[in-house]
Amino acid sequence: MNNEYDYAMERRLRELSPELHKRFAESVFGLQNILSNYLLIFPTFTDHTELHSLNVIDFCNKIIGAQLEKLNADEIYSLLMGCYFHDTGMGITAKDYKEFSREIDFGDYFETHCRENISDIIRDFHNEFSGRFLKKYSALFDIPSEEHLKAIIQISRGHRKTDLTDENEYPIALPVSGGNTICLPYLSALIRLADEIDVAAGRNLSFLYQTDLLTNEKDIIEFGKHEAIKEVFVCEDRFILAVDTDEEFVYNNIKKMASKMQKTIDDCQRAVTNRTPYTITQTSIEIRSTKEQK
Amino acid sequence: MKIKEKKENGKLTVAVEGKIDSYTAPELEKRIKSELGECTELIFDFKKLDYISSAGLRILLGAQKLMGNRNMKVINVNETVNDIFDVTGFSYILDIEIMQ
Repeated sequence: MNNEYDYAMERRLRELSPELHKRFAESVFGLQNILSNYLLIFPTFTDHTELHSLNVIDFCNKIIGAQLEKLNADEIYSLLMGCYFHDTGMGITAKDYKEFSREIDFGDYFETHCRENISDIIRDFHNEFSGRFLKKYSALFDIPSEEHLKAIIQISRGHRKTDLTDENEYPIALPVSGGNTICLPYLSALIRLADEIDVAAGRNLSFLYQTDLLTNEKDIIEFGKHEAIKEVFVCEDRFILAVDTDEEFVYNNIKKMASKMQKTIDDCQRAVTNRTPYTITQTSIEIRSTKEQK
Repeated sequence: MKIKEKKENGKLTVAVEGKIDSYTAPELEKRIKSELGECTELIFDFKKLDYISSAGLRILLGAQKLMGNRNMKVINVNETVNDIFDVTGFSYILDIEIMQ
C-alpha cells in the first residue's frame, strides 16, 4: 500500500505557513456539526459530512502527487478549505434558502422544475448555495482576507457545473495579499474530480447508515452502486473502480456513472491543460472486477 | 492490523495494533458496528498503532458521531499518530491522550 501522498497538502501547508495551517485546523473543528445538517433535508442521502471531505482531500493529495511542490501556501489553504466547505450548501436552513435563492441565477431551471420542490433545488444547486453560505458565515472561520474568501468560494462552487474555462470566474492567477497568486481552474478541477470519484463503499460507514431500511428507489440505486464499488484507485494515468457485483442492474448503473465521470475528467483536463501550467495525469476511468484482480 | 476488544461495565476498549489504512479500516468498522451496542464509553487504545491513514480517521470521526453525547477517547497515542491528528486538525476534534 503506497501512502506516499497521505496528508501531503496538510503537511506542506504547516511547513509553508503555520499561521494558515492553524486557521485551517481550527475551521475543521468549527465545521463539524454544520456539515451534518444536510441530513435534515436529505436523511437518506450518501454521506456528505466531513467524512466525505476527508476522502475528497485524500483524493486531491493523490491526484496532485508531486506537483504539490508548485503550489503555494495560499493555494493549499484555499483548496483544503474548499474540500471542507464544498457541500455546506446541502444543509442550509429555510431562512438561508430564501435569502440565498434570491441571489442565485437558476437559468431556465424552473421551466422544467417545480419551485416548491426545495430539496431538489438545493441538491441541484448546492454548489451555489455553498458559495453563498461561505460568503455569509466566513467570519466564523477566520478566513484571512477577502481574496482568500473569493478563492474558497470559487473552488467550492467549482466542484460541479461551473465553467472552469471562464477567465472572469476562474482566473489562473488570483492575487492575494503577500504576493502569491491562486490558480483557480486547477484547484477547482481537482476538487471536482476528487468529489466525483468518492463513490466507494467506504464512503458510507456501515455503523452510521442503515441501507437495508431505504425505500426510495433512487437512494437504493445510489447506495447499491457505492456498496458494489469496493475501492477507487488513483493510478498514474487513470482511475480504477474496483467493482464486486453479480447484479447486472447494479453493474449497468456503475457503467453509466463511469461515463459521467469520463465527461468530468475530459472537462477538467480541458480546463487544466489549456489554461494552467499543471497537469492532471489521469485521463480515463476503468471499471475492473475485483474477481479479475484476484 | 490486529484488533482486541474488551468490554467492561459499559466501557468498550478497542486496542489496535499495526496500521489502519484503506485495506484494514473495513475490519475496524465491522468490529465497532458489532461491538459498540449500548456502550456508554468507547476507548481506542493506540499504544501499538504505527500509522493511521484518512480511512482510519474517518472511522474515528464516524465513531464519535455515533457516540453522540457518550464519552469517546483515544489513548496512548504515539508521536507519529499524534502528528497526523495535529496536521489534519483532528487534535481539536478528538479527546486525545498522548503516550507517556
